[in-house]
Amino acid sequence: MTRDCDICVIGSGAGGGPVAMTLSEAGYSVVVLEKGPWFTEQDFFKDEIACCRRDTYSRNLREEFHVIESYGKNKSWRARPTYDAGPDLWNGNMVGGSSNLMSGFFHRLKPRDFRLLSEFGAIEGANIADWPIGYDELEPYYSLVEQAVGISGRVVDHPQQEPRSTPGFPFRPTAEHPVASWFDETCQQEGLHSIPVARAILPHEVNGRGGCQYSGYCGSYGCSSGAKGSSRAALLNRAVASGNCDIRANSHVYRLDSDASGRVVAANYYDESGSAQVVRAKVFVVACQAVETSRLLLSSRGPKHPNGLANNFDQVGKNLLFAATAGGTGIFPYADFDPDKAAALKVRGPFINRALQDWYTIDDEQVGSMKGGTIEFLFRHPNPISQANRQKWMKDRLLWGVPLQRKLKSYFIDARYLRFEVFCDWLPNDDCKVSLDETFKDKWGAPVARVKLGIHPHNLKTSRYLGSKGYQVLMAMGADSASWGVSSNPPVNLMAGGCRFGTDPKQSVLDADCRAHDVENLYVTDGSFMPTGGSVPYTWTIYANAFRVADKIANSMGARN
Amino acid sequence: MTQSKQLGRRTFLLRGGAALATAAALAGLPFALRKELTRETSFELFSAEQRELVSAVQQHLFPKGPDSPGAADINAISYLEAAITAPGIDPDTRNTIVNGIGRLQDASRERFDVLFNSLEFGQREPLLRYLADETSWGRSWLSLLLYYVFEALLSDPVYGGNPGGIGWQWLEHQPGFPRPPADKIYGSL
Repeated sequence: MTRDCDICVIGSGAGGGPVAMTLSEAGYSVVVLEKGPWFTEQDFFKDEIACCRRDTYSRNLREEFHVIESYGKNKSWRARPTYDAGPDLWNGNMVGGSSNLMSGFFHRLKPRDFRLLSEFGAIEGANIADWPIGYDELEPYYSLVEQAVGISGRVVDHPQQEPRSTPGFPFRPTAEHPVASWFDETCQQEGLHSIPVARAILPHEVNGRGGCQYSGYCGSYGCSSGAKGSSRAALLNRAVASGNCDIRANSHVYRLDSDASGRVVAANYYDESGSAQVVRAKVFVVACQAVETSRLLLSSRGPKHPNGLANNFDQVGKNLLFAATAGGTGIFPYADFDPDKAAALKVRGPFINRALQDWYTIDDEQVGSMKGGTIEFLFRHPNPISQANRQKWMKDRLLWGVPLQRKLKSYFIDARYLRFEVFCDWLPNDDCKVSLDETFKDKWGAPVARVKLGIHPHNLKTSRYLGSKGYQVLMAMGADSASWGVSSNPPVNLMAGGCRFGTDPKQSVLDADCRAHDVENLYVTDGSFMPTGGSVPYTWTIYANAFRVADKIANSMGARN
Repeated sequence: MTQSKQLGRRTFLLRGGAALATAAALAGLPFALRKELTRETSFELFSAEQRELVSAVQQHLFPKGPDSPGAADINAISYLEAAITAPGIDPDTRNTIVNGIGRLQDASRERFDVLFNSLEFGQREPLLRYLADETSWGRSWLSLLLYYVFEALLSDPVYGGNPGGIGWQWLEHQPGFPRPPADKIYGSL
């Protein structure tokens, strides 16, 4: 059969970029199919309308949407399309994917995260599993990501510091906000261990990528200097420079064809004009982010895969994972501080870059011994429109006129708002999964993904514990007041699972190399592979694992002729 | 649900307006938006009467004060028209705004026997308060109008609101950089 390339990568985010770069630089021909457009630094501006109030980086929700099934207050499951209500599950449809828009708080998993079941035991109703690989196997790739993606930071000794093969980060930390030192002082007084958070942000120019400009707008925005370590800026540009990588933007893959032996032979996609196109390759790598990866496999039926590709044991789409489930905000009125401290508090641009992992493992008389998580501290996002819009309510009453204007003025001018976000293990469970919806179809007539968002009660218990700790820290720092809460609705910007890797084909989709158990030329390299998510944001782990799998693919293909 | 999810990218035709208002409405817009709007072969904006009513409601919701800009100062009505006629706007959003105009007039006639624009401030306030507190459509409509007032107040001036950064200055807000040039705003990317 005539092939168009050696490797076809579907999706260009943190899961696709490492594969495209590694294999194209190794001399293999690579085609990357990305459903979104190809923006560059010249297209990214600090424009809240384009970035965050419209669908520049998303899809037309009337044409492409999801159905979300959530457990309501009336204690029953309710399914609604996302154009009608609920969170939008598109996190950044463009070359480089959602890594263009990430904040870049980068954490490695801990060795214990790879053995959650063995270390902490089973929990009823949770499908916890150990990973088929250990931290030691991923560590060299965590280290590789520091160089290739560009991670800046400072290693300090603390009880949860994971083993490293290198003494420090390759790039010095980004500039720190004065409040970072307040945080450090508070932690010292409280007997806590302040951790400088590594960022996938370059502090200075490196190989054509500019350093951080400290504009104060980072998360949710594309980076106009190239400092942010998106898959596009850090990896895909290198892949293209190799001369072996063809990135096809605006290319929506809707089905993978497999032959009588079960191998994938072709990726079918619609190009920008809506015309159906085909790519034939030796190896196919799927990295569309968890929900769409499962949807694509379930939509790709073949002679050996009547229930969808790699789904003969009905595992595709199961055990979807999310992350943070708690958060809080402290109000720091300028009037509460002396003029110097108030001026320091007002500084815009630099980052706080601090987190706590003192409760990564909880051992407490009241709640017992259990896995905990990470508490990340950051300023409230500066987007003014979204902040103003939240001020129009006084409890349940709509405000307007002078009372509204006074509230706005006070909100924007009188105080700074310091937040925390909790990251704890989202326990995999039978009520958190992806399937094909039986009713709703997208504009091409294909079933959309139906996403059931069920949270395990243990998550709420852990979140409440960590949320109360975050609140105490904010108050100890001098907040006038603080509030915090937990939610059973997950933030959907971090998603994983759905095609977990493992050793048992009946309970996992992928083997330890992230190759489908029953499809010898199909790999999945986004966060779908994760059986558990650890208690940190996933992105560094997704990058690292994708580099690991890229090496496995290269080894399986043999030397390049 | 976040507001951005209500503002999907799709083309639409606005019903029930006067096409003659189009040129006047476009005149106050930045070039890039005018260019974007005129890509449509046919569309209608508010009628003069509708425009007057919505503008009056905006100014009631966000009046000019001794130290604060009002809806007129931030081009709130022109901004709203541009926003809800931009390619990609969710038709539900546009319909909510347009339908609310008629409903407000009906409510004004029912309570005071005159159209809203003929009411004194002392009559407008209790009417709008009643609609916000006691009717679901009124609550949604006024909330949506306020949302677009905030966009006109705090979006980059390149979109036609917030002239000279007047809204940012009022709230001592420091915008990010680089700011968007006219040919790189939503609809042009």
